[in-house]
Amino acid sequence: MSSEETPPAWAASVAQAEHDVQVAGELRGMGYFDACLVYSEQAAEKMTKALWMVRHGHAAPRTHAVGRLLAALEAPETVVSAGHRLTRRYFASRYPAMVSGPPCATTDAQEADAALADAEEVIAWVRTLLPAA
Amino acid sequence: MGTHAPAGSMSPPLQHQDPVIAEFMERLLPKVRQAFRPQVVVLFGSRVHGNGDEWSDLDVLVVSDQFLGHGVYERMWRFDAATDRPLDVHPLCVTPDEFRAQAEQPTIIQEALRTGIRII
Repeated sequence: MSSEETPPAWAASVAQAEHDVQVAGELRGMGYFDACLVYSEQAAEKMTKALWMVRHGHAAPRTHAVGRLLAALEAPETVVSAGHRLTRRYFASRYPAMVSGPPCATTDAQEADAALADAEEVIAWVRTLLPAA
Repeated sequence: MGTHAPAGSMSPPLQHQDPVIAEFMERLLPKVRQAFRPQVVVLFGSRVHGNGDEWSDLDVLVVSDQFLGHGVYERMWRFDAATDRPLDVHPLCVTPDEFRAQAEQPTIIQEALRTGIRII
């Protein structure tokens, strides 16, 4: 494949983000609410990092702080908050403190639905700012 | 870099050059005190050790009976509501009973106590 045919790196990140949010929805449907939180955050993180690549011409910082990335990209406050909540849930579900039980036992459908909604809000905002692939 | 003391005992007043820690001490800690009347607060993680970068969060253990009856996610939302949703602070909110039980086991709470700075 020539360099002209190589898709931009940000487009791969978008494709993976769109895949991840689909997986998050499937996991929620299967009752794996904690895993839904992880994939919801990953979808928003990859989408946000795609926009970072477009805006800055280099890879985004190695961080899961989606809200901070979105704030740096001058996202609206509601979008920043959605990204921030995704990161909160991600750490609680992926790196559990186990203080009140494992995430698989403490995460409910309501939290999973909220995570999916937050991911979709971030993705929708980013999508409006990306160039055509 | 500020004064460090083992988290198992109370540290002296913390004067820290890390901007996120300074912000927490000056602006957020009073809000945490008012909202949760915590028995214990410990700062821990890479920022405390001086090896974080600009994207590192400040990890904060907050022990309060105000978290009783609230799930792990609801506790985070209560923390965010009380502190104006700091993007660079990562709270770990536990009850006194959870704190006592987890401090005896190889958990993040034990690690926070072993390596962090206790400010309350």
